[in-house]
Amino acid sequence: MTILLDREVTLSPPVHDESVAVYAPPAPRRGGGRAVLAAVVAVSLAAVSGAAYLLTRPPTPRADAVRWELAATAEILGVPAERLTGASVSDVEAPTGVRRQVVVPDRALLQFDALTREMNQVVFSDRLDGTSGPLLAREEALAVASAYASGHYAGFDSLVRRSVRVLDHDAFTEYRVEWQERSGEAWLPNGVSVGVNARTGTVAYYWSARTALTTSVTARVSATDATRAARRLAPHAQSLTVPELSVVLAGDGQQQLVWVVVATPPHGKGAHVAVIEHIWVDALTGIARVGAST
Amino acid sequence: MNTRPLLVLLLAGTALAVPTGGAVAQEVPPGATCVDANFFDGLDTRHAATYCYNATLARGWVAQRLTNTEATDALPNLPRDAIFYHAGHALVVGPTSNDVTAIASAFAGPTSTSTTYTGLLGDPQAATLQGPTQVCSSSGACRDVTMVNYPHVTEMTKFNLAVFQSCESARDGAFGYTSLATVASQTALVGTAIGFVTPVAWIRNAPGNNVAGDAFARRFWGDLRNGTDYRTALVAAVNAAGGSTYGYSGYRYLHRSGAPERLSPPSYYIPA
Repeated sequence: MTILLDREVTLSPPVHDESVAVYAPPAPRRGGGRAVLAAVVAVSLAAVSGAAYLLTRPPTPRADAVRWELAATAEILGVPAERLTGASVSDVEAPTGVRRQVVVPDRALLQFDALTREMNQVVFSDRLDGTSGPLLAREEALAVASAYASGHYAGFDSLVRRSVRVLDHDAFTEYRVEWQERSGEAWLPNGVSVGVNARTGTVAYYWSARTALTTSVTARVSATDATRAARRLAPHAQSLTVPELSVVLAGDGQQQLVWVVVATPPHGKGAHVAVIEHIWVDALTGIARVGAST
Repeated sequence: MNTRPLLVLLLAGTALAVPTGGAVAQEVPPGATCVDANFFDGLDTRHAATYCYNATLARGWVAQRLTNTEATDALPNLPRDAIFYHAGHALVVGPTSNDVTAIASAFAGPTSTSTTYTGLLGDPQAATLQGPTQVCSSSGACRDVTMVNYPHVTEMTKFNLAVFQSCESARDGAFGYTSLATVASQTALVGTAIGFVTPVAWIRNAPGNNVAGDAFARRFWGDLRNGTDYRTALVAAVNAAGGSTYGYSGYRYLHRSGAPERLSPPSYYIPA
């Protein structure tokens, strides 16, 4: 059984870091006779040394062995692996680490944690349409989303459902349901999102993040003080949101416990640029800065 | 400043050479213009244009990157281009902060002290929204600028793909104006137009950090580079950017039936 992979793309030299690399599997070995000879030699060496000889080389893969990513993909899509003709495998960098990505053209895009092999994302390419017909009831959509999420995220019961949104993308409408891990008052960067096609009732995509915490989740600065700090930083804001304690990803794998306060600028007259600022007040030091902006 | 006569002359030459009816492959590859910038208020979308540039180049397009330029630098490419991508501020207008429509893609200019903001206009009705104005953030950083907009989105005839990674770039209706993405789809008849009905954010002063806006751009163009279709790549990019946290789940995907759905083969699009 042979799994056909997509042809390698000839890439121009990137100017900046390119997050995607095409995976080139090692050529499978052949010849049972050579494997037997190697084993005999190894055993002989072990006998001569008088000590246990640990073979550290990985076992020779069978020529027809299915790569784990493709096997997992086949299982998730509910098809035999040999039907994944044209699938490509590559590594992509996510904010929480490297993911092994499998793309089955016109069928699905999947991502797996490269170390744990947990499935992090599946986007069903053939479920992203549907512009007519009645919308699924909210409770039905929630049931579909919850069933899928609980079946694919270990520890799902520890997550808190954070939002349910009906989103009309023109091409299709979805119920997007987001669950997130919470420790005390702090929202953590781990969680699950499921999009249910609001017209077909099928799961359009599943996405999850799971990363080890590298910061404290106990705030030393109060929400009230965070509001004051945000107001000092954004004195002209038309409005400030209620502070929300979160562990944010600041880039380069850095995590920070912050009170997030979103500041809306005064409304501009005529054509203007609206700069909405996500103010991050460090929950340990009280130092405020603009963490993100529109 | 009226550049329309010049644009009409430039477009006429190419229009005669391009047959109608769906994707149109060319011996000379069509072009892609990819735009990002570092704005004075700290919004830094740099690297986004490079992701677009790398992806389109890899897929056989003629590509160019514009970083910290004037809007006029994108205009000469219109006759050749079939892809436009802008990552940065949009010029918006509306009655309240929660009810605005993006009417132009904003350019940062070549210098950090530039006092002229140029834009590439979407809705032609917004052409009169030019002149002196002030751009401010809630932090109090303000700049008096002169806004000058150039017709652009309405001139995207035979475009394959237009992506507006900016605030409210697909939100229609404020003061009766039509958004950038809708104008691209319904007036210019672009094959696929992508924009957002929500404000969309970038991590401040951290270009290339693979979070929020940068994660969206990196994932979207990275997947297109590998042959993924536009729609699937868009969903994956939205998830990479944090979904609703930074506004990216509020996207609109305006796709004309029969239009290309991948970067390959490089092609113009003219609806039948």
